[in-house]
Amino acid sequence: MFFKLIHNENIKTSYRLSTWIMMGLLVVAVLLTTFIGGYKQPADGQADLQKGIEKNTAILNDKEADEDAKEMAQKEIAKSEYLLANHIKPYTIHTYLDNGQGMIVFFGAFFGIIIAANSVASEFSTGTIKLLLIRPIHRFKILLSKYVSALFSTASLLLLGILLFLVVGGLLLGFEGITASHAVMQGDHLVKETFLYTWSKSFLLSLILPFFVITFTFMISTVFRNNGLAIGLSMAAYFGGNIATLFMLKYKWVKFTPFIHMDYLSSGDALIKGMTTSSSSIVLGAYFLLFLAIAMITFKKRDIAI
Amino acid sequence: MKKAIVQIKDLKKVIRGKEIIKGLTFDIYPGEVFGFLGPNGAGKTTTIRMMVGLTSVSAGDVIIDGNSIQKNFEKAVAKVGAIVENPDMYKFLSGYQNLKQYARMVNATDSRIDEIVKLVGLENAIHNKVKTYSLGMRQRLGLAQALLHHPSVLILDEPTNGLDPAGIRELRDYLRKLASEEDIAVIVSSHLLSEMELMCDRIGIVEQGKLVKVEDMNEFIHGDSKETQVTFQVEPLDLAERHVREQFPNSQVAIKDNELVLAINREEISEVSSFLLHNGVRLYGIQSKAKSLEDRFLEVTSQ
Repeated sequence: MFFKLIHNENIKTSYRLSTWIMMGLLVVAVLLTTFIGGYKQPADGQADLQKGIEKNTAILNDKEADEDAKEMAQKEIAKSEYLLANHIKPYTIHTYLDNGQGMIVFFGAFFGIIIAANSVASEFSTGTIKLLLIRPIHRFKILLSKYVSALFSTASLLLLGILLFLVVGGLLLGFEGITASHAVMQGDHLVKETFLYTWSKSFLLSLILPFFVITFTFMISTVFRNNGLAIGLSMAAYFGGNIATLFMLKYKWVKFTPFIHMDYLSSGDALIKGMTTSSSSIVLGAYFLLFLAIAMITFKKRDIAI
Repeated sequence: MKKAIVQIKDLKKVIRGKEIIKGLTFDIYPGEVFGFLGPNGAGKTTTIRMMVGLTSVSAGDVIIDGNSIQKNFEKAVAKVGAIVENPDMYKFLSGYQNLKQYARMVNATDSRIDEIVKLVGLENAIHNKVKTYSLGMRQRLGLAQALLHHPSVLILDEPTNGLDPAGIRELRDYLRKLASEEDIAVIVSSHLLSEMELMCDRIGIVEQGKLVKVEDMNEFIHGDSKETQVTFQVEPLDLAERHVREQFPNSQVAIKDNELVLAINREEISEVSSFLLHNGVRLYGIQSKAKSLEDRFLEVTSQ
């Protein structure tokens, strides 16, 4: 029964015009960045690395270059030497996919916010909530199916984004780079890792913020039954949350705000002392449960009078 | 007497400290068409909303086929099909896709959908988007979604809204058939009193959140009094009036539009006419006019 409810919600989402506009925008954005970016796989990567080392050595020897540039050059040389020593071939598709990741996540967040905002609010604004809630199904299940469906739709769009970047990038720059190894910093030294593994890990971690904001949107949409408000507040949270956190760092209670923990979990940057993965997960889990509980309780108690 | 399918027990609704529904109690039986009447804002829709679980019950209860709408919502509402106010559907989906949505929630089969589509006469438009439907077509689609799961109770709020005269008549015949053949209890709320008169077996009148009357339709209209308004077309009028006033001093006599109007019972019609003829009055026609639901409704609610 529950799957049928999710299926119903997915159908409604798939027939909304906004869904198709978002999909279209994603396709256009992928193609634009691909062709404007001017990505090109080098003919001989090893030779390029060698040239890079020579160029950076010149910077190190240049007395007029500033310290920052020298430090950068030093790092580049170390990396290039590591790659050469371990016979790791550089691939442009790595840069291409790393840049694409940010775009996929951004579109996923945007899309998820719009779906979550419409999911509940539009049933109220069109009056269809009445015929939905007079079925022999508890309101709890109906609301949960909407939430699961919103996440499912977002996941589908993310998957579309990933496939687009992989296919377009692969066709343009060759597919072999996707599963090849590259060098990543681990602590203070470089290690060899499969690119796809590194990329997937950072992709999943960067989904924490969209997931959190979409849940927030869903709550606002359920409580205020207004999709504009839900979209507005959520966008503000998505773009402004981290900046707002910086202004709150001087207060003690900043450790109970959500964005500082999301930032820590996804990037590893601890803005305050004593941050751990488990404590950040607990704070975020509490927010998540609070949002869902507020949505559930208001939805269950609401008198439908439209 | 059959067992009641819907029992409304001292039902109350309080919104922000104000009592909107002040304790309604009545039963509805299988196979009857029950008319729920009342002026605007009397509490008809609020009561219907409580009956289908859209609005919480402040006090009292609604029992549908033995299940409380508050304690056993899923079981109680499984027996109910309803349209509350407008039949609002997903406009970006087709009529058929809308029905599929509801069918998935009540486990109705595709063949049941086809059957019901034929029943409400939407075969030709069912695959068009609902945004292209007229109000009458939306009412039909609303009726279709209400009947998908073979309910025992059908609740229709203003179902004749937007239907043309032929459509209204069709709906009326259909609802009567559902009640008599399938033993469904049909609850209809409406302001259209002439429609209700033709459609309903029993009526309940609410006013300011209170139940003013629950009565059989015939009894309600005709009541205890057997007197009806009888109009006589006579000549000369003044002579006829004088004679009648002398002969029947206890009857109400009036002249309206050059006709003699008397409030008398059935047996007296023949008596009056033979008396008039014997006293040199020429008689051209007699009409007896029954009271309508509207007359009685206004009498009851204006008290």
